[in-house]
Amino acid sequence: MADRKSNRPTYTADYIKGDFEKAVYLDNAHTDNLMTAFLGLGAEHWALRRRVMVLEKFMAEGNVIDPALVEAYEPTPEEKVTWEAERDDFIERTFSVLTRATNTVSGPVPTGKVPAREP
Amino acid sequence: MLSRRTILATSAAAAAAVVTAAGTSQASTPSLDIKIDPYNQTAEQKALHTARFEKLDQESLMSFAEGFKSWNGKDLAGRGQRRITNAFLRSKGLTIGRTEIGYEECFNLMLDEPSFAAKIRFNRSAQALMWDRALRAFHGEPDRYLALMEETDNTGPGSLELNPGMHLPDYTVHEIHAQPGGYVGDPFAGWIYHWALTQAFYQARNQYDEVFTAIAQDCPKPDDGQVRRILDLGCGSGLSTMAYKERFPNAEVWGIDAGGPMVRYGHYEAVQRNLDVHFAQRLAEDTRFPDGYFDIVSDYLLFHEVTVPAAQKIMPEIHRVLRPGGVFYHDDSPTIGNPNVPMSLTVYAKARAWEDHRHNIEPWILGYRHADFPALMRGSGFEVDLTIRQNVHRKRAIFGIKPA
Ligand SMILES: C[S@@+](CC[C@H](N)C(=O)[O-])C[C@H]1O[C@@H](n2cnc3c(N)ncnc32)[C@H](O)[C@@H]1O
Repeated sequence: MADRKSNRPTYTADYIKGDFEKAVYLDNAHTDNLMTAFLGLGAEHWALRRRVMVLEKFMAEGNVIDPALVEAYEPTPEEKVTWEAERDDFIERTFSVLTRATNTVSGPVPTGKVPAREP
Repeated sequence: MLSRRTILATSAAAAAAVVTAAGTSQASTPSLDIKIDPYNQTAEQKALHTARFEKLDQESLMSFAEGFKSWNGKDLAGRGQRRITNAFLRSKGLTIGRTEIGYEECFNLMLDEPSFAAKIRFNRSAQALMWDRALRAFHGEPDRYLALMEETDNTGPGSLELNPGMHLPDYTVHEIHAQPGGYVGDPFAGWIYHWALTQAFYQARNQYDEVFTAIAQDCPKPDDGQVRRILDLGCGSGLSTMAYKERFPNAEVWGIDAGGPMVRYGHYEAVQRNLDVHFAQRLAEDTRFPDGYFDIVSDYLLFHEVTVPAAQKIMPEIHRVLRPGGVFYHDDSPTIGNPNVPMSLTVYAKARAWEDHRHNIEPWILGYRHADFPALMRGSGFEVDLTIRQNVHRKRAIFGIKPA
């Protein structure tokens, strides 16, 4: 009910804890954990890129950069659109390997032709 | 140091003043009805509806979670994925159409398909990332966020009723959608729900509460046009509750929820928006309002989170507190009883539904899916209206009219 550290009222109640943190979906727990850490790295990387985009914007305007300004910066509606597109590209190129169809490679080397790749 | 929130609060207060002025000038018209275009909001409306983390990095981590969930979601349902799934099912001699195989078995079958397993792993990890990084933002400065709520607990506009000793049925205290602490067990549950979930879950479609504004704007009025009192059941962080007040500034608007931290945040936020809304920690099965008190009762995403027996108690309660001619506006995920939204029962769809139920902790969603919701409404005396309206969720919403 009260925050145990500060004794301030929190209006919370006892709850039923889920077991979702224990789940393993891949071959073993290590692979699952690596995937989760990999995702976390992606998030940190995107946070850095976003910060750099704000810094570059102020630098391009020739400003002395006040960290408080960087911290408070809100992208314009246009920037929101381009930044989100950039984020989605980053996610796609980094993580889309997971969507590939997989198969056991065996037997002779394939012989069927497909059309040449578009430029 | 510039505070992100302070900058916004200045324009939010200005915008709120506009809303109040419009309400006051026509106080004699009880059903004043303000049109807001959810998807073309003015700068003031956007400033009012935004929820931004204090720090750029916190916001960026949430932006990643949002983008990742969106990519993973699109891909999971996309054409490439379907081709892989169908080939996989055929290789196992299974149908790609409707199946009688149970939900859990479908999930376990699909896990043998590597891209499905990876997608489930990433879906779960992205959900955990979203909650964890949001929790860290608030728990990193607990005194500050507690103090913000303490400042508004006993001030208006509007009011807050907290009932710390009240009995909470067990079904309400799970860590639903894997939210740490659920709706009742974390002091910042309301903030986290608004600032993390409603941003990331709606995948860039709810940066300015568009979904909630649309829900309120789409609500049909009773035939006589009178809207004096509105009740928002299972109001959570109060986003739709506040949107009702913006649309009907002269109406008495109530939001009730089982979670104390949920309504506490709702009230805090309503004060920031200068909206006179009433929040109370109460149960939907026992609202404690007089008979016939409300013109409109709405619920958004409540019923899939309650048990079938609880739903059977809540429905007559809604009917009781509505006045004759009053409207019940229900919006939640599909059930077998809603002919407007056919339910997919393929191996893939059941596997995903099992993921949501068991791995995302939605303990009651399968019961809700297989309950005939319109029949439940009729059983309590409602006339059911399945007209597809210009609703944000169009086919999903179901309307009940209490006969005059
Ligand atoms: C999915 S959330 C929806 C919140 C809000 N309507 C929204 O969409 O943002 C469901 C809410 O219903 C509340 N709830 C569940 N059972 C309830 C009950 N019996 N009475 C009141 N609230 C309940 C939960 O505490 C939670 O806040």
